[in-house]
Amino acid sequence: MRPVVVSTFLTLDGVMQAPGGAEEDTEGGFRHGGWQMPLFDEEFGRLIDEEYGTIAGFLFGRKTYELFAAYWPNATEDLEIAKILNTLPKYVWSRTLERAEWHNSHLMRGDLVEEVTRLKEQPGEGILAVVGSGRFAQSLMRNNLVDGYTLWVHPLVLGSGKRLFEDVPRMDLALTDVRRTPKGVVVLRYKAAGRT
Amino acid sequence: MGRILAMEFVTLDGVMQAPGRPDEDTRGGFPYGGWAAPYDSPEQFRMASEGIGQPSGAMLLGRRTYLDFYHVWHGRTDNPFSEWMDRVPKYVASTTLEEPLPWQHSTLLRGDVAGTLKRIKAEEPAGMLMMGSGVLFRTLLEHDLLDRLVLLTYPLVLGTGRRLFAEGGPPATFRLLGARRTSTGVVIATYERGAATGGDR
Repeated sequence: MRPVVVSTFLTLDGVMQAPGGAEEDTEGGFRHGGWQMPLFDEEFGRLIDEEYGTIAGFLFGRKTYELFAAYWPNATEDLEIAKILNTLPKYVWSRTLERAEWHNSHLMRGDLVEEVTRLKEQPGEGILAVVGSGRFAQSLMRNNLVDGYTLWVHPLVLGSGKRLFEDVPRMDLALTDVRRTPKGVVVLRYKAAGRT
Repeated sequence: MGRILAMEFVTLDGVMQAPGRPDEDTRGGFPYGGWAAPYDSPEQFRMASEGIGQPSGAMLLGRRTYLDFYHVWHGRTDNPFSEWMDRVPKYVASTTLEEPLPWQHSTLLRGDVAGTLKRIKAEEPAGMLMMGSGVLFRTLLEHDLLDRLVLLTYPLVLGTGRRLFAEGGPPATFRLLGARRTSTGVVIATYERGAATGGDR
């Protein structure tokens, strides 16, 4: 059983839009792209490496998949992360994407619940990670498919932008871990209630 | 110069509405009032107090929270909070309340709340503690009057309800002073207004 873990960079007001760069996602006139970068430090990088070390595969929505597929195959920094992303299986859900050509990508068109359940039941260690992919993560939540969360809460408020927890049902979670970085990111890990 | 400290209870999706009781605030048909109660723990009050630091000399409240606190806490002797709340000055922001206010030591803030608060901060050296009071919280952020935020994050998502950080509010950066957890999974994080350059706890 491989748990699905939503691992998301968030602000204090729950915004997840465009942490990595100004042009990453300007939908809705979002002007704050790139808010994560000033808060990156050595400990943050270490915690990311630790998190990525537990990943067995990735589940993506289309937008984040396309963004990552354009960047990571030719990345010149964060080479450990690049290697993990470029090597491990990537499952992308999209009705419009015609091909998924990034190495070891699998375009998923079937029923979300059936497909994700099948992936979770595959033997082996490690988590199925959902990074970015906000709307897709919300679909997983609505279908009770998420087993855990790693929330990287950054110490700032943006006042606008897409939020992770939008159009989702009531969910009870159990806190399993709290870490912090020197620049004030609080890393919270939760399990969905009833999961072991 | 006094400081303004806010202690706020939120869910993981940022909902602050009615943490304490089912009938506390049912605006919008909110069905989950009292969501914080199951997570009470003996250590939570102590940890939150340590986040607040120096005891505050006054309370700062919006109308709704003020009236709710008055009905819940006023005049009781069966808890450690009522005596303090009855005793300290209480500043109440409201455009609809009229004096006299029901609770002793209450002062009504009308009109230019932000301007008035700047003056009062100078007069209350022991600082003011705010809880709940979502509308006033946003006013404080807009006018950069909040000095410290003790944020208690509960391990649940509600999917509906009024949020502490409303859409369209002003951007702000904070410096994390510390983050702890209770045995029930409530995370108590203390933030100081200012650039996010890291703390030491």
